[in-house]
Amino acid sequence: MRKVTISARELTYRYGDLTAVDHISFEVAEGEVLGFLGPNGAGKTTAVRMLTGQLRPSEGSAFILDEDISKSAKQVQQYLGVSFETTNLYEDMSALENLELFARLFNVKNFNALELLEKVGLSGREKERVSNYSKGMKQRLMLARALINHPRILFLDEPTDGLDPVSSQTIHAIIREASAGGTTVFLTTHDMVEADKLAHRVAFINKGQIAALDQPAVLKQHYGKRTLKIEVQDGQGGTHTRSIPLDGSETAKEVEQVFASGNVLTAHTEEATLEDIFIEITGRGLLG
Amino acid sequence: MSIRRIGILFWRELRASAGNFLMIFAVVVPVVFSLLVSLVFGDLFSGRPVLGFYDPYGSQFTQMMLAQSHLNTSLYDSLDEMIADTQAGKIETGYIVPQGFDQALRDGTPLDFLVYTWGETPLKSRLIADTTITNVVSQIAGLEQTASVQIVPLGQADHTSLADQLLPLLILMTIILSGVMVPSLSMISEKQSRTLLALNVTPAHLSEVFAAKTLLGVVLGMATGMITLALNRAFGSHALLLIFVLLLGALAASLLGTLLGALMWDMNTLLATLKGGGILLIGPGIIDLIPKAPDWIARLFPTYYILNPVMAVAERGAGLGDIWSDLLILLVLMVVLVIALARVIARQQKRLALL
Repeated sequence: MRKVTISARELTYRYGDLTAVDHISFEVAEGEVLGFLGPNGAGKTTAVRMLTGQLRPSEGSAFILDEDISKSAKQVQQYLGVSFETTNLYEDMSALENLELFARLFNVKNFNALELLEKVGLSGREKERVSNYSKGMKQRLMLARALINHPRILFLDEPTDGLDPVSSQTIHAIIREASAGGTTVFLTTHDMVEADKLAHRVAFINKGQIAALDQPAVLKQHYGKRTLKIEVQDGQGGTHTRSIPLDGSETAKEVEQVFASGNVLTAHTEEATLEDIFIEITGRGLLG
Repeated sequence: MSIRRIGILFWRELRASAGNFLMIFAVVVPVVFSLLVSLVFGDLFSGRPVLGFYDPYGSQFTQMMLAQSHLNTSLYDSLDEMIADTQAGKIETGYIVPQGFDQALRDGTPLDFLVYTWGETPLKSRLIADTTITNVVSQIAGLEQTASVQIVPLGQADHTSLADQLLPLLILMTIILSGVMVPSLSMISEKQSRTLLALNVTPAHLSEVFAAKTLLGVVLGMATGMITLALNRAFGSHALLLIFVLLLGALAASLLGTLLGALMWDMNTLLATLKGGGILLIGPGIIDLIPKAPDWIARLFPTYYILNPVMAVAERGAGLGDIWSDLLILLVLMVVLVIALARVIARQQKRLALL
């Protein structure tokens, strides 16, 4: 059994009368990628801030690498890598200088900044001022900065939000590599496709509470409806699509009838997306 | 607290300041202003003739001239240097005292006495210098005083030159601009660019970030303060004590700057606060410009306890015994600032996370 690296127990945070995070409990194992999904204002960022020792919980506790983060934040932060949703780099410095500064603060010796920059696709521009970088480049540099101390847990807050497909692919590859190397990745996102691709498990957070937490496939199986979509040619030269639920009692008979007509153009199965499931569980969309 | 991390953050601060317009403004303006005052008012309106003497034979005449308190006098070892300074206007008149000058005066022997004069020397200076020389020559020659002159000062008897009057304000501006503005601007810029959030998830403590910014203010405040004093030839005779009081003053100013930076959340609010409250910071310097203003008014301003020890040591040659009470009040003020800062840091941790 893999070691638990993040353990949240009844974690709660209140902003005055508003409960942003409401008694959430979960565990994340070493090398696991947990997708933390929810719409804006659901409590994702507040939860991350508590888990990274930036905010003290109003109630409950969070154990990171077996340490209570609210009691020993600075010791634990030595082993964390955090990439923020909003860019927060020293823009008057170059990428190389940014990395060197943080490496010194983490007291990391024998680190190769150029290698790290090459990994995130920024080699050749390492001496340029960060203020000249595009959003995608800054996001990649923030990821490089988060990796500088070889973290045991990587917290990534919307790492690909608004990025081009190439930058997104680079970041996805780094997340997979980190996970394969044993780093726990806590991925906060509202991109369901990204979570489906990368996360071993996903947690749906809605109104500060965890609505569901499981592997994407299990959630799809549990909540989603599988259907067979068949495109059929009609008598007037047009086409129409029939949707047949795969779990119905008459499914086999219906499928046989359609295929017997000899007018089938295409047929494919369709499973529910994480977004469909989120809507089904919470009754609201991810952008709402 | 880790000294190593404070050092790392300090170097980052120093480097960032070098490219920041407002930081450059805060550091360079007092120095430029000081240069201007020194060049314009210092020479033209100093009121005291500036004389130089080249006297390899050590005459009594030169010793008596050097002792005149109403003159600015310098003794030169090199004739070339004195001539060059006269040509440049650094001294108004340069006297070459010949060998046996005192004896010749006593014997009544005619002697050539070569004098170089800067072309732009004001008539007033020439008159004062000539009258003084005549008096000294008479005394050395042993001539009987046929008339006793009684001088009754009218108007402002204890006249101070404009440059001397401006110096306290200049020193205070230097310490305040570098000490207060630099750390506060740096702190706000760090908050606005959210880099403080990034630092907050590293092993660096918020108190270390604050300490690095305070250190930056201290170093710049000290450096510009010393440059300003040097430019105004006001380094005094107790250099070590002066450095110590300047260090305390820069530290107090920098603590205030860091506190302001921690409390304000944007540049406009900070600049508006400094504009509005600036008078409280430079008040003692302005009061020094007002002739015969009572000292107790200046004492009401906290920055008086930064300025007065510096000026007392630099201008009046005061020792530690003369300024200890002011330093004690300054230390109390610094303790208050440190306590306030510690409280603000504790609150900042939470506010930062909510940015």
